[in-house]
Amino acid sequence: MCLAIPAQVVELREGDNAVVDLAGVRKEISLSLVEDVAVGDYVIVHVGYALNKIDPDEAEKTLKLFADIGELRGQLPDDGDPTRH
Amino acid sequence: MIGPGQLTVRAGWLAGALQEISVHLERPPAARLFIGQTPGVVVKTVPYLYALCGEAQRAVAARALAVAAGEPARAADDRPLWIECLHEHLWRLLLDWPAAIGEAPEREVFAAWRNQRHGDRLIQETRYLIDNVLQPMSEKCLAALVDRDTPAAAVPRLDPAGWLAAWRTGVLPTPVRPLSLAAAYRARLAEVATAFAALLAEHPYPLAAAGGDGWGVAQAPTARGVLTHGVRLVDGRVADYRVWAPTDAYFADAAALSSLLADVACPTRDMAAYRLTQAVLALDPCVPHVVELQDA
Repeated sequence: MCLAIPAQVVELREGDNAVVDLAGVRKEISLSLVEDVAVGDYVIVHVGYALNKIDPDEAEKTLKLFADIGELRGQLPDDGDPTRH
Repeated sequence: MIGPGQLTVRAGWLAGALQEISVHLERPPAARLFIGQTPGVVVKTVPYLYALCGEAQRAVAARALAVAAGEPARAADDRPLWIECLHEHLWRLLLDWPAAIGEAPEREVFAAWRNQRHGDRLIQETRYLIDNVLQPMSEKCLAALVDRDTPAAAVPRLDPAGWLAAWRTGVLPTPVRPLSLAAAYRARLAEVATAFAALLAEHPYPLAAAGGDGWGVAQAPTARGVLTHGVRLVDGRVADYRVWAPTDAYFADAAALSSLLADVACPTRDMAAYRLTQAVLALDPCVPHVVELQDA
């Protein structure tokens, strides 16, 4: 995806697949483009693939940014302008 | 916490054609995070927010902020920008387009190229990939497109001064859209060749900016189209920040999709789904998307 929201791996499955938790939503993705991913790791996901693994500190920092964006959405009027994304 | 946004495409199949195409794009308001921040904080924050085209996002943000602040722009790091551009094109051409025509994606060979793309063998490995994997796959993909002989779509032009004027007057330019599926596909092939040649020749990555007196607009090409950032600084802090991404332009309404599918015959429902998937891929949304096809 365009936005780099960290997704946490919650389950490894056969065929280089895994289940991740992305912003509270669980989905199955492919791990075929990244190496050495374990349960608990954070990955960035795009169109069903993990793009890369990120360290927990970076994931925490990034999740905080997206939490702030979520709060901003509640505070500011939504003018429907997509260029503010 | 927010989600990554979503694109929903709906279409009906009636009388051998796709009709009543509609799109709905939801985007989180990420750029609002920059309001009230200093340019330095924005430049450091951008790479954390954007996964795809992250190098381009960072370079364009830095250039827009520098112009707005009246400061000299730092030279961009060209090689990662070209590699990122190649990476996005090759992903579409080796994984997504094969799947869209019923061929097996070249997952292993793309993963191998991807894992070494920042190493010393980038040129050799990219040449091998283009000549031995992409070339035969592109023949299969083009053979599956009804308008396969259409020339490549035009390369979008950078025009930051025009965009700055448009932003200030409130009437934004209409982006260049591919006129057919094959034109979009051939444009990707051409851009792979351009990016590889630029890497070989160590050409600078195209970046352009315009502005001053607190206003700044910067642009760069990406694999999806032209990326534009606009910033307005007041007293050294961000008062307004806009990101015009290709996905926003192509999916602001159904015009681009409808245009791509206007003359495409779909005698069966399966064919309608097949062509609709290809049309969405030709416009390449950078957010998760769902496609819903109904009997109209």
